[in-house]
Amino acid sequence: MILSLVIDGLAVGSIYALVSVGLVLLVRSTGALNFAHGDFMMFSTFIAYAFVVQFKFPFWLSIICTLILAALLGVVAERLVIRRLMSGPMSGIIMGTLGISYILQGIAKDVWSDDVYTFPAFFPAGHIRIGTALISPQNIGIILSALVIISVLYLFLGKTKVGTGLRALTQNKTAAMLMGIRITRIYSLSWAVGIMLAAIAGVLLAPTLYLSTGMGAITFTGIIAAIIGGFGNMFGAIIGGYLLGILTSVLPLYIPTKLQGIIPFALLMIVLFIKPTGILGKREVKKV
Amino acid sequence: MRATVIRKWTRFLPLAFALLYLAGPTYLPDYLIYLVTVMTIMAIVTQGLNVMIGFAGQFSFAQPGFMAFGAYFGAILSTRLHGLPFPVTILAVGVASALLGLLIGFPSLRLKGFYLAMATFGFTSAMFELINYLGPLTGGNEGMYAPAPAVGRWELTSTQSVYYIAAISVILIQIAVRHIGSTKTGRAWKAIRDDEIAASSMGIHLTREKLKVFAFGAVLAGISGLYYSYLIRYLETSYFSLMGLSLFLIMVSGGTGTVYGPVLGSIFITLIPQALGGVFSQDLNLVFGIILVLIVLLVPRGFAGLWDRLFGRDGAAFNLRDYLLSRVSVKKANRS
Repeated sequence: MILSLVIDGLAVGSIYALVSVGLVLLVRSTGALNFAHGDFMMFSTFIAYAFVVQFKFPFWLSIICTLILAALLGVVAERLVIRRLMSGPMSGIIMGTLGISYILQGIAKDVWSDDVYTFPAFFPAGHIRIGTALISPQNIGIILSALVIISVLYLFLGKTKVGTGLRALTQNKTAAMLMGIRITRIYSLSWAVGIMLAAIAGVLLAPTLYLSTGMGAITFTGIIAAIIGGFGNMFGAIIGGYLLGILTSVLPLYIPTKLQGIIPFALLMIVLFIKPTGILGKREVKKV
Repeated sequence: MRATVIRKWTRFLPLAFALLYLAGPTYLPDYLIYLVTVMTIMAIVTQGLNVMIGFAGQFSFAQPGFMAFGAYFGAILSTRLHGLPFPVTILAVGVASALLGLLIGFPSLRLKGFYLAMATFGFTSAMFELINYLGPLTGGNEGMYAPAPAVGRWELTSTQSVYYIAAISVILIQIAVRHIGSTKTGRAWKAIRDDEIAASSMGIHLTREKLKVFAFGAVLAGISGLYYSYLIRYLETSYFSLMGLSLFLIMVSGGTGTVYGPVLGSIFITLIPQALGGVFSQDLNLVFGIILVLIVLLVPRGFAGLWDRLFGRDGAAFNLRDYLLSRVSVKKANRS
């Protein structure tokens, strides 16, 4: 029982990890906490749905098209809105991303209505029995895909030139500029990558859940995962995502079902009270 | 000469406006009375948010939660203690919200920026979950009947009475906020907004001032929630959860950190759906989202900023007020 719940939790946690790692990437590079992240995810998943079901593209081609459009969406949002608000107060950038979130939801509702859709599964359905635990291949597929994506991200940030530039930017913007890194390009790039990560998370999540315009609510779970792991560190966000996924799957065994919705926020409060910088966060010392 | 006379009389403009507004129910049609009451309630809660964000720089998603708390607390109180005079209910809700605000303000001692935003968001979500969980007390998902304001057996069921209660409150609140900027507390809040470290090294007690501003925002939100329950007479948590975006929209469109911003913003935002006449009723959130982004990008200081630019005294490239005044005095000079 516990084992299958933990596997469930790891699968959900993979999704959370992909969402929160994207969020942290955007915060670290452009200083914007993207309250529209979940809506970007919802929108990209609907695009994928359109390619797979409505245009009947082969699966791999739909994914590629979706990723390209998702990246484009991110770049457009960064170019039109985020870049102009970056130098202003934090509340401005929160309002900006909140606005984007409502715009994306509004467009999605116009095009696809409030209905729920079933996204075709691409991992085999059914269950595998291991001992007493029932494990669905779909969850295993999600976990493995997320691991692959995270490794690719790790290689991209660590080994490529652009990735190094991005890491330099997150450490010290002025120094990065002086070293000849074109930071405006890195801003766009990070939004492209962040939204692509969200799109992948959405496509992985959609077959296990129904696809609907309300999917964007995952933003807040993603932010909570990022805070639990520590906002300064992308691998903290991944750990936070998995932790949150496992706890939200296992804890309902022990607490009343009506209170399940509180779990993420209760965890958030506990972390904020005990260690506000998160599990892997370092204390930021501000010099005057 | 004439210029100073005009300047003298514009000082009474707010007073004239307030009187015209207070006398509203005597000449407005019924549906406008209702609409203006909604505007007033929204202006009260947004003023709290505005003081928190615009004055003290403490970001908050907690307002819908405080509103729901105020509405449910007031409704439960006046259902259990039948005939409780409504000023007592208002006072009780205010005190309870202030205490809750102090409790929620506590994390803000340690948190800043996005962390604070998320903690306050967590509070609001937890509040809604809690209200739905406490079914026997609050009616849970089915909602709950909210009594009208009462004094003993005398019940004020009409919209007009809610209008007067809310109108008097908002005028008092506007006067208070108008003057808070020049008090010690108001200056301390602005100092914290601009630079926490500098503020604390100037001897400002960060903890105390932040708690104060949280309590202030909570009281305004709680009271406006109570008024909202007086107006709609039926409570469901979804009413309040849907409100989040409008509050920010009102604050930003009116002008964050200005005294009259929330009033101007709530007039603007409440009138948009009326002006569109149901054309975009399906896409209202889309319209609001677009407006929010456009305002943040193009007029970051909102209507109040625009007003200052046209009629304010300083800091503007083109000042309509000075321009008009100069025209008047030129004419005068020519004539004499």
